[in-house]
Amino acid sequence: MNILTVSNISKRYGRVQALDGVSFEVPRGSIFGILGPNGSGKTTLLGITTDCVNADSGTYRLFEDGATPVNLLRRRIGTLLETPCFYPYLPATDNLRIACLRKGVDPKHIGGVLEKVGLYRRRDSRFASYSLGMKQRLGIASALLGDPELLILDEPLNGLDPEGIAEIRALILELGASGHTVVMASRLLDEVEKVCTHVAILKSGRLLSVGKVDEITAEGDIVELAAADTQGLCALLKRENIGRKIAVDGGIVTVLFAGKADTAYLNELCHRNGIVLTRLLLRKQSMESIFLEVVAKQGRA
Amino acid sequence: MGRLLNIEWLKIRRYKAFFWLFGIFIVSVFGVNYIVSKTIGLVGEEVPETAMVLGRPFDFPMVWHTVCYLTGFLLFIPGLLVIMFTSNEYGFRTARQSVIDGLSRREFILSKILLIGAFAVFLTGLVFVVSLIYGLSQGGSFTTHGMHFLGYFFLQSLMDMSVAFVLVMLFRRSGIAIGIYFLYAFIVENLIALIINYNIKAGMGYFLPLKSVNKLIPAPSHLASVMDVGTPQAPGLLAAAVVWIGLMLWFCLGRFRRSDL
Repeated sequence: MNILTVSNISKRYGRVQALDGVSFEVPRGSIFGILGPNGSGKTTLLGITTDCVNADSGTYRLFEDGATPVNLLRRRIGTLLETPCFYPYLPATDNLRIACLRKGVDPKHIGGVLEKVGLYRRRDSRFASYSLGMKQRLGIASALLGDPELLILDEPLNGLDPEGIAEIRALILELGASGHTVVMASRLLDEVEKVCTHVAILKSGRLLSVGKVDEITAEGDIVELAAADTQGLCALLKRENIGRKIAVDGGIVTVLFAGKADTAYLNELCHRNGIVLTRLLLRKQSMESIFLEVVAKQGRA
Repeated sequence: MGRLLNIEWLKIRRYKAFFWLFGIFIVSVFGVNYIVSKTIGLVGEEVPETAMVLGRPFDFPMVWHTVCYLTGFLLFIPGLLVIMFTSNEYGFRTARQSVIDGLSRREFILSKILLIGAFAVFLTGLVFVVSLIYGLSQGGSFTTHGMHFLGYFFLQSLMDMSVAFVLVMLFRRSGIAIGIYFLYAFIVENLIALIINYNIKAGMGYFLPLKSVNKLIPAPSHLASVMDVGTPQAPGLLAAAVVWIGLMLWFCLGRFRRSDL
């Protein structure tokens, strides 16, 4: 089941085309990353699917349900859009109580979600007294109220310290593992890589690519090699036509492969030719390089 | 609906500015009526000839009319409250959060309308109590004759708050909305009414929103009627008031539905 289907959504703000014919489907149970630089349209897209922003054209569908009023469907979603929006003069408990009433959720869950994000001890402090990271955590807590099936998180790691980042990353993975669906917008490429099962790449309002993270990173292993005789190593690799691209930086030789790399074969090859390796490291192609490639390809097209 | 009011109450109950403003308002209601009643009493003593003209406006049954009329001048304060609460929702971006959490756009506006309604009910109750206190303290016998002014007052408070609501929905920022609210109430509408009354048709000017409710509760003494030019009768004014309020609230709903948050 596709928990969210976006069809041909466009939105223009004056002269800026924020979104241009964006379409994709989010499968249930996935951790779906929306990856893109600042200004790519991520927040606008999520704003449209949460009814904050009116699209110029195109439609979206939640839970494959076209009959139920959209605001009722939204109660089954936990959302954190851009920045957490709460009443600064109210404590966390009151703010969450208001959220519960809006969503039709029992307020008894408030203590639980505050514990999950580590704010329980500060639950009676006014929102205005919170640090940036704490505000972010409260936003996430609000999104978790009522254990919603779908979470839409816009840059959830914003403002968090390294400990917080690790905690929230673990929380998102746990949500994915327990059958929830998470749609996560981020400009942090390595976060998407670490956490997401699917990714959609957005730039300047256009959807450049969408698919499973595994499949995208499955193409092209990267192998890092080093030896005392760097030049000899390079010559050997070129002679044997290893990989599709070889780069040298300092003492490290990086080989990009079109498909899978056979490190055992490489090891044996070098040894046979008298080259003793000091380093042999297999890496998947990073999200960063994929992203840069995809963007460059679109730039040329 | 109860749920929506509950949400609004959670927002209000800890908002200090609300209690200050509302407190000042309640004190002012008692204050204004006290000042006028004392002044009339003193003038009546000093210059006995005026006693006939001024009468005893705080006696039953006229007290209903008098208190409603005088308190009507203070209704801009609840208007300020409406502006304050609504502009906060834009400023804190909680209007957006409400919609995200699952309130429909209609429910959000309905919450504000219910808040206005609740205020109007409270204000009318307050005026009832104040009238009762004055009426009984003057030693008269209680009568419900003239109590229909309470109904007109209810309508007037709805109107004053609805105008404020329209302005804050238009401008989102409290400063501009408050400025234009005062400008409109004290200057612009009077100007328009004057132009209509003298250039187009006498009496038509009283069908403007604030004017219509103001004329429903005219100055109780006979002095002010000299200035009125062809004041329309109550049913016409009532109809105009109801139509204006309906149009304004409908506009606010439409505007919120169309906006990006």
